Amino acid sequence: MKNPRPLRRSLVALLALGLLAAACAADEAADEEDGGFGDPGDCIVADLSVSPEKLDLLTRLAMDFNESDDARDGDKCIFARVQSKSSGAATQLLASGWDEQTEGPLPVIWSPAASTWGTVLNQRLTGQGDPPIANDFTSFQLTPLVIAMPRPMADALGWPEEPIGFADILALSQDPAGWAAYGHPEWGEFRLGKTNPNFSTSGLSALIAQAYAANGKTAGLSVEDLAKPATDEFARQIESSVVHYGDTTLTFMNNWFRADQRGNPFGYVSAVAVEEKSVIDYNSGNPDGVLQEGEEPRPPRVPLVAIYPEEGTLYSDNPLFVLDADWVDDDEAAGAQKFIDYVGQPENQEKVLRFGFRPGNPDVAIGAPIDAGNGVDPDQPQTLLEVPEPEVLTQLLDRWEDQRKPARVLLLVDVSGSMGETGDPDTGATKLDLAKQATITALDDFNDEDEVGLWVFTTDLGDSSDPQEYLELIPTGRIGDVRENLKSRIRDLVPLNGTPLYTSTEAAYQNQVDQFDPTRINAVVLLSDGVNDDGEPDNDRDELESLLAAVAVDSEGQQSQAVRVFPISYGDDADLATLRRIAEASQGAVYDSSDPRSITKVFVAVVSNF
Amino acid sequence: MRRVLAVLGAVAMVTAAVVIRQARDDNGGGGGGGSGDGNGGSVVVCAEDLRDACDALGGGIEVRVQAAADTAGAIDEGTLADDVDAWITTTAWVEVLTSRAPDALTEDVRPLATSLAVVATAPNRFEAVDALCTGNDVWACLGANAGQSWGDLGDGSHPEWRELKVGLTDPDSAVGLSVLASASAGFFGNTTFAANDPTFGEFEGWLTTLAEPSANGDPDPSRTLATRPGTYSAAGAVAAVADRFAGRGVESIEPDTVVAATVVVVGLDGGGLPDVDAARDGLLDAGWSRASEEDLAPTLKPGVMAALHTLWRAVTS
Repeated sequence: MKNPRPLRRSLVALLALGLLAAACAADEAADEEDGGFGDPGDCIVADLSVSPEKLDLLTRLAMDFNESDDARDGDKCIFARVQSKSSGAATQLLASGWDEQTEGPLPVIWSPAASTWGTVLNQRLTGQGDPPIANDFTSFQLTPLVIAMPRPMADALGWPEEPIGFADILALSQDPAGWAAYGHPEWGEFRLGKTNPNFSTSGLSALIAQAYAANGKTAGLSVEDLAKPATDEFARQIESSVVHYGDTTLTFMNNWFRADQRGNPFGYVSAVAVEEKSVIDYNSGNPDGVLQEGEEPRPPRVPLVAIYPEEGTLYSDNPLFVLDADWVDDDEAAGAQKFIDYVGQPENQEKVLRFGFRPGNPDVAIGAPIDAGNGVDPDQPQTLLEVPEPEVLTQLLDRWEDQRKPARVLLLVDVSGSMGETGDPDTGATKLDLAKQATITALDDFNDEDEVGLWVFTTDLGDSSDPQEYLELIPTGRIGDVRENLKSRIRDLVPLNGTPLYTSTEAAYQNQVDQFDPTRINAVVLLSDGVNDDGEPDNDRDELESLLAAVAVDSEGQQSQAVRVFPISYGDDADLATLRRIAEASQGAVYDSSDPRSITKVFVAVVSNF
Repeated sequence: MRRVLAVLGAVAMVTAAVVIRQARDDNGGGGGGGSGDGNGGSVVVCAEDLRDACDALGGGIEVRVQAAADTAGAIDEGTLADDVDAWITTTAWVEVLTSRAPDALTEDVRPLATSLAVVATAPNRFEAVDALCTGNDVWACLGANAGQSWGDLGDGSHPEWRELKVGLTDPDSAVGLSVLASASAGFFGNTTFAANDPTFGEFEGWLTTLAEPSANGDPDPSRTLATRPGTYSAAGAVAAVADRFAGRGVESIEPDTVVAATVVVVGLDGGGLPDVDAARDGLLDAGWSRASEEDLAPTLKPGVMAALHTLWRAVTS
């Protein structure tokens, strides 16, 4: 077995002990605001930290609770206040220290996506000699892991009469004929979307389900099972069909929806491992589950269906833990329990149902929107899988580091003059200083077998007689061979001139297309702090259109050589809107690091795609 | 074999039958709390799975919630707080303590509510379970087939259900021990079996397989049927609890060998029983039936309930 990447190995170790690294960018934005809750006054505050997919729901429930008689207890009042934090990130913070200055208030109630994270947290705490804090919980809503697939593709596989599972996914992914074997050569090869199991509950659940499927078990998965060559081969073959990973399933759902709106949902991915709720959201025309101001649901042209793997699946059981922690006093714990009781009331469980979750209170019958009209089946799943023992989980993740699809990534770094501006007023570090450190740290997050290259861009590079807009500092190659050289070249970067964003990005993109490797995830990671500024503003629009057209053409065809672009919008002056367009055209994702001090976390999230 | 001998020994040590009586009729209320001043200052320990009913208690009664097995252990070891006046639990636990610590309980026992132990079936699986077990006690049938593929059971038309898994309510709970007694009676075909029955060794293997899916302790597997489809095909429960989940497609099958869970209030300090009518009414509202003195009759032979609990711990450890 190859050596896992050092940081990834440490992530695995952390998870083994209960730790998952890194927050997603969406979490951070919510952390910095009060979410519209206002001043709690003299009330007892019950702070909640919840996983992002239920932020909207719990925010509404908390606000309703705060206004209700249920929030009164004699002459006391209780004030529930919600912030979003991904399950893995919260686990890490609760285990290793939660800085209220940067992460928001310490939670009284913690609600990760699945209670597995509570087990993980407690293991980590006990491993470091601390008492467990995530003990009793109430599961207030549930949603099973499913394989989402466009209905015509599912029909081609015999759905719903024929049970479909990971073994079928494996067979399809390994068939050289791809969808042609099912009468649809126009759909090309089979492509799977799966999130990174170190970050995402869906990714972790899918990984567990794969391992069970490989062993024909529904319980008692063992480290011996994982060590079998057949199990390893099963996993490698499944992973080989992955388009990219990532920290959240919402990236897949948004990209898929945009592809659908352009008339072709079949070319981006064939199937994605997601929660049932996400299928409902997608088919309701709300692929990320959150309707922004002014948005209205727009049903997809081709709906998805939820396939409940025949080998079995797992639930995200959305626990509400009242933490047995020293920062939670008796009044806060009692207030938290009142909120939990409130959430469990039938009328509030009806709201849970309306958001696409299965109510945890069985007094509330399951009905719309969990119905066939939304591509889901309330009578499923037929078989549940047992959550493996912690040591098995550890092995599973450790082995995934070696089994996952390798990457071929070009880092394209903006070294324009504005990168010399102050990024952290407390330390005086420039934006480029912070970016360099984050990039160097991220390099440790790749496997030795991944291929990584480094380009920089600004105006007037190189020989003054023939100035360039970008330079290749390190050609894309096996990072195990070039990691230290990459770090050295990054350390030497200095801020220079203008920002030829469009031409440089197109060149980097084209370079990756020219060297496309179908056995790898091919990508460009673009870090930029400004708008396009190449000294020739008259042709900016043409350059952008040229870039977007090139990126879209290569990413959407059935026989496409898909190179994903993952831009990082860095600092307040970055052109987030344009970077988002570039990401969407390539069916990648944009990451917001408007506060330069967040760049290390953001880089970790970006690299989770590989 | 050593375990069987140990059980036999335990049984041999039990010489007294359960003697329980109704301290007061229902309408008379409890009166005369431990403090001798109505309910003022009374302390009642309530089995955790009966918490909802106990939450209705007022009138100055302090309610402490604890797993029935923990309370029994504390009584047995003499470590229960001195100020506790009464315990709300099931007759199954009274039988355990009568065996393990015959002097620990007073004769003040009052029945509150009762409900039959049943087998609850998962949504859409009632017919398949019923067809599979027709002609046999449902527990005997489920235990004999537990762990086998549904593709090989019945007409074989449901391989997608994978293995037949059955949930058992955690026997550390008040109701759970009664459910375990029901399952065990299903295996033996009666409630008069003894822990030195010649087939007890076979029973141990049977229970091991049956208990495996819920070996980590499921406080309410009928609720699990309702909220987590795919976990079990069937589960032990009492009818009052299982019926709550009819809206989620949970149905019930009554075993041939009838066992009921009867909730009681047991005096612990000899000072009479507090008025816990509110808890009884809560149970009745939740679908339990009013219990009478007849419901206080022991479920199993002396010592057998304790032996079953010990065996459960052994096969799930």
